Parts: sequence; C-alpha cells; structure tokens
Amino acid sequence: MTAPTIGLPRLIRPSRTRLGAAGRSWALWTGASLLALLILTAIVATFWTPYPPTASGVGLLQDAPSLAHPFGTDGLGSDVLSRTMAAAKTDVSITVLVVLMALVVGTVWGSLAGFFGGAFDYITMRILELLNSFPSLLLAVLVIAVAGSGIANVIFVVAVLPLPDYVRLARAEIRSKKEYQFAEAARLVGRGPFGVLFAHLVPNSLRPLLTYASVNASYVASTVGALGFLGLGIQPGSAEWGSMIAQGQDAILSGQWWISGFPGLAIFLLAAAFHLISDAIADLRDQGSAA
Amino acid sequence: MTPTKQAPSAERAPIALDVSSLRKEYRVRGAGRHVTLTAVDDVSFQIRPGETLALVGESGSGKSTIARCVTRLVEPTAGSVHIDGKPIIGISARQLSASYSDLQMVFQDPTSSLDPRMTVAATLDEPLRLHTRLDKEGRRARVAQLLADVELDESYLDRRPRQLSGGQRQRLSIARALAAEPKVILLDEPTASLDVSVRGQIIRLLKRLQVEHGLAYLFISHDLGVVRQMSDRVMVMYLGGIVEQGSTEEVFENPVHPYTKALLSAAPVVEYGREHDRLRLTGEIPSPMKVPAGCRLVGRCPIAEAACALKRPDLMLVTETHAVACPVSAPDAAPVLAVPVP
Repeated sequence: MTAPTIGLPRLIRPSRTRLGAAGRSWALWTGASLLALLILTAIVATFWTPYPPTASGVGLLQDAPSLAHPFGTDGLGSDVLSRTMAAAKTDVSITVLVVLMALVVGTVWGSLAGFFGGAFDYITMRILELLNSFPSLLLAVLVIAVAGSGIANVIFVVAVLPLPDYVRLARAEIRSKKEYQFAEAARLVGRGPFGVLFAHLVPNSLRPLLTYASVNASYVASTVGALGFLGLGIQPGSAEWGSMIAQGQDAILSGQWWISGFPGLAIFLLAAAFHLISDAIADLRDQGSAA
Repeated sequence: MTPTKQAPSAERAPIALDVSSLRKEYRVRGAGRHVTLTAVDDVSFQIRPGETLALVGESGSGKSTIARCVTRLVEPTAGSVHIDGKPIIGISARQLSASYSDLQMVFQDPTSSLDPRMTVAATLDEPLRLHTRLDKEGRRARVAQLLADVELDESYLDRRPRQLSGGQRQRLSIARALAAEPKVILLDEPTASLDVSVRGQIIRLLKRLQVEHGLAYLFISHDLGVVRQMSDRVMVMYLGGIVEQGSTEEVFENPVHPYTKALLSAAPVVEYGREHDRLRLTGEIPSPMKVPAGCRLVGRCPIAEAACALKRPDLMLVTETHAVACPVSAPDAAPVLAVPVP
C-alpha cells in the first residue's frame, strides 16, 4: 500500500515546468514586451495624444523632430507622434481581430473537416484550392476595389487570405490525432463525437496553430499597412500607419524621412513582436511532449 | 450436425457480459482484388459478475479486435453483445455513450490512452460529469475516493500524465474506468507496457477491485503466467477463432488442442503443473488473408488428418466446462456453440 504513493520528488513545480525554457527565452520576453508596449500605446491614444491626431497645422509643415514634436510634423502640419499613436489603435486592433477570426474559424472548420472527413472534407479541400489559386494580395486588391475600402472590408479580406492555411493545419493535426488512443478512451468515457473533438483533440492540436497564428499576425500587420499604403485600407483622415507612409513617400527624397519613417518603424515593431513570439512558441512546442 | 443450443441462461445467475456470434470482417485490397479478412470469426462467450475470463493468443489473433468490437470502438460485422441483459449493438450513438457507464476498458498503454493535457483531477472528473448527477463537491469527493481505490496519493491531483510513472498512469486509467461504477471492464493487456516490478502490483490491485466491486473482467493477455494467476476461465484464440475454452485449471493442466499445447510449451516458464506433452508447431502463423478453409491450424499441426482441411471444426465439450475445436484430439466430444458458464 505504500509503494505506489511514493512519487517523484517534487523538485520542479508543475506550473513552472509548463513554461520552462520558453519562460527564460529572450525572444518571448522581447516579443511580448514589444507587443505590450504597442497595445499600451493604442490604449493611451484613445484617451490622450500630445496633439489632436487629425488636426492639421498644429506645427510648421514638415518640421524636423524637436522637443515640441518628437517625431516631427507632416506635410499638413500634423504631429507625427500623435498620428502614429492614434494609428496604433487601428493597426493593432485590426491585426489582433483578423488573426483571432482566422484562427477561430480556421480551427473549427479544419477540425470538423479532418474529424468527420467525407463529403464535407472533400468540399472543404476544393474551396481551399480555389482560394489558394489566387495571388493573395491581388485578391485583396480586387475585393476591396469591388466592395469598396473601409475597415470591415479590410478585416474581412485580410482574414480570409490566410484562412486556407489555418484550415489545412487544423485538419492535418486532427487527422493525425483522431486515431490516438486517448481519443478512443474519451469515447469510452462517454463523450460524443463533438466532445471528443473539441474537448480532447482540438486542445491537443493548438500549439502548431498558435505558432502559425503568431507568424501570420506579423504578415497581417504588414498587409494592413500595405493596403493602407495603396490607399485601399482605411479612409484617409483617420490615422493608419500604411497611409501615413504613403503620405510621406515624396518627402523622403527631399530628406524629410520622419513622416514615413516612424509609422514604418511601428509596422516593423508590430511584425517583429509577433515573429519573436512565434519563435518562442515553436521552441516551447519542441520541448513539450504532446503525446 | 447441428450444434446443441446452449442452455437458456434466464434462470441462472445473471450474466454480466454476454457475447454471441461476434464477427468482424474487413474488406482489404489484396493484389488488385478485394479480399475479405475475418479478424473475429463467430466468437461467443459469457462472463459472470466477479469473474475473470482470459483471452490468450498470439498477436494478430484477434484478441484486441474482440475488445474493440464489444465496446464498438469498431463496429462488428455481426453478432450481439449484452451487458447485464441490455444490448450494446443496435443502439444509437447516444445510448451507447450512456452504456459506457456499465462497460469500460483499460488500454494497454496508459501513456497514449490518457489525454496528455489533462490533470489527474480533470481526467477523473470527466466521466463523473458525463455519467453521474453529482455536484462539484460530490465529484471532488468521488475523485478522492477513486484515487484511494487505486492507491494513488491525493497530491497527484494536479499532475499531468507525463509527470507520472508508468505504473501510476495505469492506476489512473484504471481509476478512470472505475469512475462510473461499471459492471464489466475489458482489460486489453493492462500490464504489457509496464515494468515487471510494477506488474504484480497492478494485478493485485485489479483483483482487489474485482472483489470489492463485483466486476466482470475480460482479461486479454499473452502473458500466460499472469493469465494463470488472474483468471477463472481461459479462452484460446488462433486466427480469429476460439480453439479451446475452459477453466484455467483445465486448460493449463490438461490442454487438448494442439495449438494450446504448443502455446503452453512455448512459454519460457515450465512450471505449469505437471509436464504435458511438449509440442512444437511448424511454420509461421499465416496471414489473416490466407486462413485455411478447414481447421485454421492445418499446415502447422502435427496431428492433422485429411478431413481437417475440409471442414472447420466446431467447439466440442471435453468436460462440462472445457471445450475444444479439434475432432482429432477429442473424437468423442459433443459439439456446442459455447461452453456453458459454470
């Protein structure tokens, strides 16, 4: 009666081992801090910016960075810092929203296709092939040209573009795991097919999906910027990093780098933050023993 | 020759698990044409509460397929399964899920049969949520009781499977099987993946739980030592069919079928009662796609006669509780569908 209760010495607390090496990785900390900083900026910008971000003529035109305007002013005399801060709201929230939508829809769709197979799976694969046969940015430009620009359309298009990848990834994960014995054991525990799928298989398939989601987030951040740059994104007037870069593009040649430079740096930082996080999650996945 | 019907079991003590004419065929593509592979060929047996029936045979003989058909993890091609008189086959998926409160299974490898993300507490809470009406407090108490039942310390509640040893994992999966208070547990080689030092503990645990809960066990194993120690009756399987069935004592002391004799002779330990005729089969177990038409052992059997290749032998009673499918070894025995349960 005594032998079985003698456990391994509790050298390591279970909660700690879960983060393990990833908890110590510089990539995770740098990425997470960067992302936190950008989110914080977006939150602060909803309440306060040094100058009203949409007001023109708060300073001289195309004034270089100074104490009064740390990021300088643009061609309309607006404060670039205030506009960059206000744009964080738009870009960060669109990126997060898009990735969440694609992740949730793609996971559910791909899981169902992988788990139930049959006609549903077949149709799913044909739809994915159709979507993949278009060059993605071209598709985005086409849809926005037809449906019109505006936040809702941008979110929709940018979320649909990576959707096939999420669906494929979730489908492959579930297909490889559905024969696992713990899935059979879950049936014997009394779970129906949806219970087996969403209570056992999907949670055990999330890591690669989350890794991909963070890679995808950096791509989404730059795509939103690119659409803004092409004038297909957010309506001019409301601040958005990509359209800010477009506004300053001529000024770069005459030496006024700050009008495009700071919003460009912001896009880079947002994309880099997600990249670093995805690296850390991938490391976590390597050392974690999924099954 | 019509096999005599088995005695109606209504007036006898209850049957916990009643399997009748269970059959599982697979359609396989072999060499360009479809071949029917019979993994389980009209197998019938019964187990009473508190009793252990062992199922022995080489890998590939269909042992695990029987367990998977009984639980309908795979759908059997034909046959019937009843738990305590209630059917398992022919009911809806929803009813089947509910039936799993009476019918449980312990898998060979607890490492793959436990959800790696779920803690001990969550693993045991899940069947309780699905099969009982206990509230949160009641379930917590029941989880603690289950852990005590399988001799796991309560400090393990927050651990995940990979933080447990192999033996502890198997205890956890036994506790999970016990959670809904089943009547029948199918044990699919429950000790095969464990260290020898842990096997004895798990066997003792299973026996104690059987007595305490009146469980009926179908014990699948190829470890003859454990089978002898664990079971009341033994069923020997070869290429999907039962070749011999009887009380553990009879089968081990007085094996009749040449395959059983060979199986016992092949076992490394020679202390199975008195020395019986050593017997060695020739050749390899044939592919399940090429099962001989008559007796399955034809071609490997040293005592086969010409008639053996023509007709598949029926089970025939050697004693009241011992049946063999070999007319050469037991020429005077009477054919039966299944051995009456003692």
